[in-house]
Amino acid sequence: MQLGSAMSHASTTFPASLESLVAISAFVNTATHQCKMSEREAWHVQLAVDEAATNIMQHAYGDTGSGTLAVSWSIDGGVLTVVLHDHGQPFDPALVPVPDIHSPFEDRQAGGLGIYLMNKLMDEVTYRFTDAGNELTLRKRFAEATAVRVQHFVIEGRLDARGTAVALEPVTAAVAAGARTILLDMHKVSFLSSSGLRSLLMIRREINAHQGILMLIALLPHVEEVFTMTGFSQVFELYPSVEAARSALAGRGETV
Amino acid sequence: MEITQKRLNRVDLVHVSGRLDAMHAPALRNKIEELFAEGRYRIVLDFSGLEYVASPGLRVLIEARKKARDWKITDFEGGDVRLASLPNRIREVFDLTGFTSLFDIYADATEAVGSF
Repeated sequence: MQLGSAMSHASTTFPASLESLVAISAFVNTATHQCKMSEREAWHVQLAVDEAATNIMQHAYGDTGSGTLAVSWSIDGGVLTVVLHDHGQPFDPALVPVPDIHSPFEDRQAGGLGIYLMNKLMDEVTYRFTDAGNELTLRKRFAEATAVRVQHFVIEGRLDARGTAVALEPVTAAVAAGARTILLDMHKVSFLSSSGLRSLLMIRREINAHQGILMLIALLPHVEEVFTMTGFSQVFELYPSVEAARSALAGRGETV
Repeated sequence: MEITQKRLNRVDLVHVSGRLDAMHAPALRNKIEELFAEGRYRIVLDFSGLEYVASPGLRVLIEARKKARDWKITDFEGGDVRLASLPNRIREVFDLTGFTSLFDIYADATEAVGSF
């Protein structure tokens, strides 16, 4: 899978004061923009970096006055990596207790949320203390925004041992290219055999591995019967119409 | 960040817009402390113009609500900090941090003011 194949990087040093937060956000923005992340993902990265930077500004340098915060980013193989570097006191965010976000208002503690958010919004957060200071690395996998949107296919013909590969080829290609939300309109599928079913299962497994969604739409009665008989009607999401599928997606907060 | 305030009969309506980050959170805390000092403990924060919230902003909200609720007229009536018009992104941060269930959140400022 070739996502974000262009290798790219940049780094800048900021004064470690809260006045720098907006500039750091703008700097990280150039990276998320280059990744073609969805707006929502880009904003997640911004918030995580903002929390990390705030934490360094407030804790690493204490009362010693001014320090610097070096921020760098790189993009490689569908992963955005942001590294924050400072020369302040060692501070491992993993040692901060995780707040109980389910505790009732009366018992709710006000602290620890920044690090919690940072971990929640990124795929990977690692810290190490070196001779050169603190190094905090944040990583996020991304799919290019063009691939994130809902893709809609109308499948035609017989999904049997002979026809399945050809009929589903565009779908398989889209999934390999990073498509995550796929609607398969099946109303022109006249026949479904076990090999057709197996191919659909493989597509479903690949999409699920990336938290995607596969919806099958408008199955002809005798095709739907194959799903019912084999128990696969409980494995796949079946919808009577494209409208029904899209409104189910919208209900889950997906961009339709 | 910009803060504007409107004094109503029983409630103070505070409109907060822009970035509620570590840099600007103290300004909101000062504004709320100012209201408390005037004996005004019923506050609605209108977030319709809020673009960004980070943890220092969340901290101000939780501390403000704790203080407001310490002020009581009767067992059933007293101070509170209630929220109105959360944009989707702000709502998402609230969901991630469990804040959605910590606050009374209303669809718009009128409804929030009316709830007191």
